[in-house]
Amino acid sequence: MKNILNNLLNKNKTNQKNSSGSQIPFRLNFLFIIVAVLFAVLIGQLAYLQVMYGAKFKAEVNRTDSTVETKNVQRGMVFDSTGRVLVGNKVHQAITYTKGVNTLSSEIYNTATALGKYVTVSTKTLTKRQMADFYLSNPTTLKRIEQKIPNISQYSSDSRYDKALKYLYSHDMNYTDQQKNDATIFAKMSAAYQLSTTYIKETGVSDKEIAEVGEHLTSMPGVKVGTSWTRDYPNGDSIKSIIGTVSSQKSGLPSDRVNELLAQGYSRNDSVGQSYLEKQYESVLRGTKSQTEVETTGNNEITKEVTKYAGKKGDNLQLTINASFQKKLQSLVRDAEEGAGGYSTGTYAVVMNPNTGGIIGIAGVDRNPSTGKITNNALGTINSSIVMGSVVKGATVSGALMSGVITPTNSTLTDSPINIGGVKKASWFNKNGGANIAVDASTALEVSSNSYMMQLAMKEAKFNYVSGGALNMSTKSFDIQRGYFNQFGLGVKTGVDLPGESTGLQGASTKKYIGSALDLSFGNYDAYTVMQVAQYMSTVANGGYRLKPHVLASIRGTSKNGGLGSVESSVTPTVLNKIDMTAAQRKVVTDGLYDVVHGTNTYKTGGSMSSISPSISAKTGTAETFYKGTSTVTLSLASYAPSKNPQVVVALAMPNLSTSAESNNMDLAKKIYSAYWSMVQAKP
Amino acid sequence: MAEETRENDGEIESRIDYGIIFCVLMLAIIGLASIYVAASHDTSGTSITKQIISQLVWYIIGSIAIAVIMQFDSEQLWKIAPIAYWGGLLLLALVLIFYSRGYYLQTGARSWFAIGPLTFQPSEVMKPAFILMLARQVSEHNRDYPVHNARSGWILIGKLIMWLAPVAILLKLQNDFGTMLVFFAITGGVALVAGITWKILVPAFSAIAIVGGTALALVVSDAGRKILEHVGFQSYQFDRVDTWLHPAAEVSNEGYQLWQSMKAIGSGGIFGTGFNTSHVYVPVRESDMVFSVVGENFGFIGGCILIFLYFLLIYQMIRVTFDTKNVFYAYISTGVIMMILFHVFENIGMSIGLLPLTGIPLPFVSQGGSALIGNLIGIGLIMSMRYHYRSYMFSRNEKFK
Repeated sequence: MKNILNNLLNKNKTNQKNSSGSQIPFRLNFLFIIVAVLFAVLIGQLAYLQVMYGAKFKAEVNRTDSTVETKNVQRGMVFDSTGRVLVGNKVHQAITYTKGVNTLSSEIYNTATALGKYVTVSTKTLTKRQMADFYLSNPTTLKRIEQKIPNISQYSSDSRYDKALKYLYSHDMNYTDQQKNDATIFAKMSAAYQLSTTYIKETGVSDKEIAEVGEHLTSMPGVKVGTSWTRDYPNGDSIKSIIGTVSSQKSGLPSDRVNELLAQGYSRNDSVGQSYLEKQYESVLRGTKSQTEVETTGNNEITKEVTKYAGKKGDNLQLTINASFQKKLQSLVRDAEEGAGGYSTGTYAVVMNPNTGGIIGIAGVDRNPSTGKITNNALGTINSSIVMGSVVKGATVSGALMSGVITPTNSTLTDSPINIGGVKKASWFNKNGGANIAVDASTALEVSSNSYMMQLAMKEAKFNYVSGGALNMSTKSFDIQRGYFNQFGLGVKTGVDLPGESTGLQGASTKKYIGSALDLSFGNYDAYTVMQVAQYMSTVANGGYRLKPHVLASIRGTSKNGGLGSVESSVTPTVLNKIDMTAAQRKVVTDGLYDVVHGTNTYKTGGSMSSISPSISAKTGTAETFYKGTSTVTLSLASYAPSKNPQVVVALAMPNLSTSAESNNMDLAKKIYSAYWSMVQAKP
Repeated sequence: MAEETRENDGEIESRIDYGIIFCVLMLAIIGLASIYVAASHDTSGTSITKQIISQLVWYIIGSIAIAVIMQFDSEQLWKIAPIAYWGGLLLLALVLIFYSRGYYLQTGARSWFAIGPLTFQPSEVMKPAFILMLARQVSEHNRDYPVHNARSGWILIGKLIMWLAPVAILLKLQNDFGTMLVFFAITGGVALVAGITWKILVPAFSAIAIVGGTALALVVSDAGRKILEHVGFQSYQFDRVDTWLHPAAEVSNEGYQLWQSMKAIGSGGIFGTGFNTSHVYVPVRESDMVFSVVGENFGFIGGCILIFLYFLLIYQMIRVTFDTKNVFYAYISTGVIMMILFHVFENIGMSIGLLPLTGIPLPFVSQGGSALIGNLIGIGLIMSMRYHYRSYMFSRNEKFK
């Protein structure tokens, strides 16, 4: 070969005339050299790939990737204080689908149509687009449709698909029910993430479907028979207004928290607590997903599946709430509201243990006065701010004792209407000064003296009251009074373990409103929640410890038979602050509260509750309120029982009753105590 | 009689170029084996035997075409050239109207006729027709302009472009960029051998290299891309270049194909994995990506043998050209060599990440009837030279006539 080349090259050289053909040998040899060079380049690159990097590529081919496939576990349950199930899980047989790695839509099409033969799903949620996507995912159908479109060839493949979609939209395709069924399955499968499991049919799977799917599992890659869970409320749905709800597989993660939850390892179709306790204790309830390590080759073929972690069912919550009492309380509250009528806007009650802060019952209803419709709203007890009236007077007297303007031995003042530049504010029994009496602190509570409280407020603000004179009191009065109220929990967050708690509402506190500082002293200015009242009363009842109220008693594992397991952590009473009062000072207040019910004064306000056994101490409240210009009253009650060694606090409020409804609060309290002593605890 | 017959036979035998037949036969065997490997590892609709048999049938049809073409001597080829060219051009135009819709949807190119299960790509048979026509034109030109100076060179370039342009335009309309490049390569090769003065060729090829280099530099830099987008390029057109430069970076779609191919070939190592042992799936490896089968199964050694076979084939073609000493033949063989060279270099080059992906088959190896027929016609042209070169045996002229 070399010879020929050389020969030709030489011949060429001797023939250097520029005539036709003479250049051909040289040029051909030049071409031949180009060929040789190009082939040498190919061999060079080949050597680079196969010889230099051959081992690396071999390793790449033999490489196996492992990805982790996760499966949902059962959500933790919620139990009441006695171990009864408040929220359980209903187990359903379900058809699941786990998408493989790089699954083609034509493969999903085949699996979906195969599964569609055995399983019927609800096609209600099927969209036009999903139907069309399914229809076109069959390659032959796609080709057929595309051929029906004029000038299809001039479009790119993307816009061809769009045209095909438009064609389907504009023609009445008359899909069969079977096609719609398959399309719904296809849509669910397509929406799944690779190596994550989604439910094709969660509930209502018939035994026949299970059997048929089970028989044909091998022909439907990714399809499995599994279980799904839905929340179940064996003690009634009303508990949802405390426990809240979870998102369903269908609705997916709540849209406002998607990113946050995805970052925490949730899948888009996971169930997650959406409100109240389900949300508050999500991290406890969710459990830990099972993890299966899936090994794939460089070709994405699954070679091995190893269960790394079997998953752990969510832990259970045991609540301080007693389910049957809770149910009763809710119905009592509802009955009370139904009997109220008029402009009544709701009734709310909290029953708690003053020694632990544990909430035994929490119930509330809202009422729309214009339609009369009543809805459950247990959390109205923590988020509705209500001007409570005289129930706060125990805190007013305590504050005065702490500030030193009265002492246990020297607390007597005269109840007479307070006259500020001609405007009179008076006690209910002494509107015009016809019944001026001398009262000490305990009696002031017993008869619910407004005048006494106003005088305490003025003394605390160091204002010398002269009847008929102007009220040149410092606005510090607001701060002084609220400071004492806050120590009892009035006007601050109680710290309850439920979301959305309100601090209450503060009235304006400027010089212009200084007259309202007097109203504040007897509870007719600032608004509080019922939970705050309950905390205040339990602080009085337990000797001055402001405890954090809570509904969670403990977090418990799951026993072998699926019930309550061992205690993993329990909530211990949390003291938020201690009231700095001597025993003698406290006795002034507790005596007063006892006398409200059991006292001898004819003006005592809670006499009708003296029949309650064991005996209770209480403070009633009546605030003068308005609803759309009509005069109404808000009745409230803060109480504890037994009067000696208190074990239970009952707080309630009923805003905007008609002015004639004077004892609704006490009637409800009687029923609540009666229910408590029969359902939660035996009478001591 | 017997003596004479044997002598006759011997004469005919010497007129048949067994070297070329050997190369093509070896390539055909490698091709059938590769298709077998591809078919047995890929789950496509058609059966393995059906694919092998259909390829065999194409070989038989192609061999008949070779036998027919061998009957034409240079004068007949000279006369056929314009008929073949214009006929081919007509087919290229017709395919724009009667192209197969199905293939278009698959490939995005309007290059196929389809009658029932048979498909036919006119651009493949246009290649030898175009080569014939160019060879005739250059021969005529060089007869009319015996002196090679700049002026005659420019006139020849003008003529070449004139004959190339209709083909290039029709292929552009078919959206078949790869095949269009083949025609450019053929024209470039013929222009080189035609004797256009270096004064034109050197600046011309340098200019092409500079333009190409600048374009590449523009595409790989962000600023350059902005400029290109400004003058109407679309971002998807850059993707191919990205895939080519960084095959492992983006392994979906096209990048996937290239990366799989490189993995397959690379993992073959020096000796290969052995016949019919494949660990890597490469899309369309029965056709455009057929080299990945050879590279994986037979490794570096197998790849080198395959490339050497092509080298041997081209060497024989050049040898025939020197033997026959006919200028018209010289241009024909140049065209055929360029056709095969470009196919081999581009096809293997793209499989191993040296060149960007284009839809160009590996001659005599890849599955596909039209390409095989086109290439075998090219072989037929070369073989007809040897078959008829006796006529010039007694011309003692050293130079090409």
